[in-house]
Amino acid sequence: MSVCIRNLWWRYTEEKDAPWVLKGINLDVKEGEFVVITGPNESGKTTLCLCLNGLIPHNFLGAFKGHVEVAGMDTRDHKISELAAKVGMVFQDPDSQFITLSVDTEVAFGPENFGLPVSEIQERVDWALRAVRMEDYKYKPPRALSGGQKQRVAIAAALALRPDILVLDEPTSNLDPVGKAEVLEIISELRKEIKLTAIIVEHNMEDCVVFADRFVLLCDGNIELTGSPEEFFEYKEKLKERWVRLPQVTELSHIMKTNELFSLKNIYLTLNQAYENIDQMFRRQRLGRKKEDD
Amino acid sequence: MAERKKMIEVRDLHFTYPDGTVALKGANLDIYENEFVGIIGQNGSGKTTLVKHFNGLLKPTSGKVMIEGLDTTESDFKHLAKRVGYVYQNPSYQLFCNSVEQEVAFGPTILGFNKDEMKQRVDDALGRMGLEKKRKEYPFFLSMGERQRLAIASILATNPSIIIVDEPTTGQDIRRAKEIMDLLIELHKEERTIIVITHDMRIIADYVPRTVVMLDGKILADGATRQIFADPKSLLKAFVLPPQITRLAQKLENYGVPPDPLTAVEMCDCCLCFCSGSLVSSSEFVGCNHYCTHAQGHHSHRRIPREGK
Amino acid sequence: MGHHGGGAGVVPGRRAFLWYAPSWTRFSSLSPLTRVAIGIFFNVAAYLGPFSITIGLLASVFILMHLSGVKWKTLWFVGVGNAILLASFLLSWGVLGTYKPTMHLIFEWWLIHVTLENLLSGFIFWVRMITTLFGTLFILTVCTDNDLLMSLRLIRVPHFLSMIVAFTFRGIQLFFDDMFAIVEAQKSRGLDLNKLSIFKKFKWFVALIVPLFVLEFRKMEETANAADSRGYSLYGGKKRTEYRLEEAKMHRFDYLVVGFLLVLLVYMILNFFFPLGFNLLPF
Repeated sequence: MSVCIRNLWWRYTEEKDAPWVLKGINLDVKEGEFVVITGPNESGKTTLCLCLNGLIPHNFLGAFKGHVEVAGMDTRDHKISELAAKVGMVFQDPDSQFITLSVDTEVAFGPENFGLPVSEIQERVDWALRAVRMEDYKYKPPRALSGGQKQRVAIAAALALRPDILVLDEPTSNLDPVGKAEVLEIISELRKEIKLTAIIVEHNMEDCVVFADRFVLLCDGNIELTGSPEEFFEYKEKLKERWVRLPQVTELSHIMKTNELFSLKNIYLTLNQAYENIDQMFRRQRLGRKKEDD
Repeated sequence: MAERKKMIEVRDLHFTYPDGTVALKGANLDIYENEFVGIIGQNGSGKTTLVKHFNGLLKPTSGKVMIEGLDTTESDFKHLAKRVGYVYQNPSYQLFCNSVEQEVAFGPTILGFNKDEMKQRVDDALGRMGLEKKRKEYPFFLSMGERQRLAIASILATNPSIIIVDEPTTGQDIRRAKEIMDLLIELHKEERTIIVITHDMRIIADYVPRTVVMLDGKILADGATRQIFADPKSLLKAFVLPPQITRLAQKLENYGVPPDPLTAVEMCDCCLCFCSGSLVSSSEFVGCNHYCTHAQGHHSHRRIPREGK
Repeated sequence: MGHHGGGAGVVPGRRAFLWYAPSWTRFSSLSPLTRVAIGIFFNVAAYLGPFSITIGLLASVFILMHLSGVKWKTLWFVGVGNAILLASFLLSWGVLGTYKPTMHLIFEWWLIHVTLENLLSGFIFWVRMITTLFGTLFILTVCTDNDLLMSLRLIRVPHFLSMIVAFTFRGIQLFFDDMFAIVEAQKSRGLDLNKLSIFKKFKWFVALIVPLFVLEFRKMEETANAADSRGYSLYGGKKRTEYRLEEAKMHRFDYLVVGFLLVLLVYMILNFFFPLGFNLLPF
């Protein structure tokens, strides 16, 4: 088990009677799983991410209850720098997580901290920058980069550590549509290459659903829904209530289900699935019509 | 038909940043009064650079930018700020004063409005954005969503005729995104010209009638949103994809499905039409992009299929 | 894309510490430690040696800075600072300097005697001081933040100290970047700082400081979290590698330059205590 969260409660203040931000979270993530956490703004998604690499409780003041274990280490017992060897994290704000003044030193920062030899660091920097399509910007300073480019660099910086678990907080929000799909694809490929477990907070369901093994709906500090993509997107009303935007093809299949003409049993999750299904349906229709004409 | 006033005119705009990056390589664009334009393109294609020329933050390295007939290189910031309001992607850079009230009053104060008018405007803007109760709060104590509303309120207080919003829906859940876009539509109905930069194609499809696609410092495509999304090849060049439903329809084009449905409802209609044997060609497809139909004067909210094969 | 035969490989596109300075200069083939050493040499040598030598040093540092391609216009605030400094020095030396009847009196009022000699002393001290200043500016013009970090590492300053210095420099630069972003945001609301008088400009800058610091404190916290998340630990037992250290190593030419400067410095120190050199001017 890669990540094991048991009855996690957290609030940012030690005051009694203050409201809890996370309320009794229970979550298990297996090795190599791709989990997507979604939910309305301010539901605790970012807070949950911070719990996964030890920032909560080490760097934040507050009240912590429960048990969080990542890669076999209890986050309360280990220092953040120890956990960083296993957990890579990408934060939401691309500006404030830029530590150095040039892209290559930024990506090299993580490996440097672990004393890796220079040749290996160079290799990793090149690999990580290629993976996010930023190799041409190797020596640029942060002020020369757009928000989306900075976000890519942040992802490269986390990748350079080759962690077992990668936690990303809205990694695609500033990226262009192609970039969104690319980043998620890279992370998915890494699952096979280096056995990466990925936990991603996202609002963008369409690109995630292609790769995700599991979805989690977090609302107001509680996990309200969790399941495989097929199970998760069945709950149309609940998701709508919680302001989760379903993939368009899923919406389409929900509408089509209500019409007997289509006799649709399963919802569509991805574009390809929808295409294959509708293509079949139309072909049958055409054949049917041809037979009628004959 | 009376000739529409040209609000923004960009002619052969080139711009190079001081460190040598060439951001714009000859952009040409015309934006008329009361238009609602969306600008899309890959990261680094020059969207923000282009838009920063509209309120004079950047001056062209070569080429011309005219705002309501005034050349930006000859106008000062006050002049342009009166006409153009720019809402930053990250509102924290814009917020500056010690209270919400002062923040909203900042713009009018700089631009020299008189006291009574100013009070009126501040009250209006605060009321509109639902920040009346937070008048005396310190801006940095507001939540992110409230800060964004504050940034918009402070722009509104100066009553600009052109409003530019840079990525309003990044990092927002769909409820907030809708709120912001609904607000922009309201502002558009008040005869303002709205320009939005975004990566969210569904928002463009649902709300924005005209789309400009940028690639590598130039304008690649410019036109009605529906037409733009109907041409996937040039969009892909620009690292941009049409909404998922549009891509689905495009894949099914050999069945006669039009290449430009923008919502799930439209697509369902297409499927119904195919299955019931009366598929419509794209030229007869009216569409139910509800805002666009309002803008074009249609009253229907649903697609009206023409009968016949 | 380094420079073979030279030290630090500087690539076009990198920024020096003073943001407006060009990224690649003639000095980039030297190790960053050499560049820092040159700057420090000017800092120290400005106070040793007679005035004639100081003038020579000032001239040299100007030449060096010009060779590094700095745009003098952007250093206007340095010019303003220097002028203020000169005025205050002349005032202090003139008003507070000791008066001896042998001096040439320029101005007399009650107990204040302003003499030519005192004014000249003030002037000379000012020249020395700006030589120091430009020595430091030289370092800032030709070195990036990473270069400064590498030069510290080359003289074996321990990790935790050199990282703190590095973070400070980076923090300052990011701070200025944010400041420019805020100034730009205010421009978009009509506040044009260039058109205002010096006093109003100052007033607005002060008003900008508060939101800027609020922003910076928040960012600093997040940046610290980001650094921790990538394994940074101040007192970590792990040995840290510096990935650009190879490029920054000293080569023969570097040792030559530094050696030459050291010899000069030693000569000047000796000359200070046991004068044997010649003086061009009677000061």
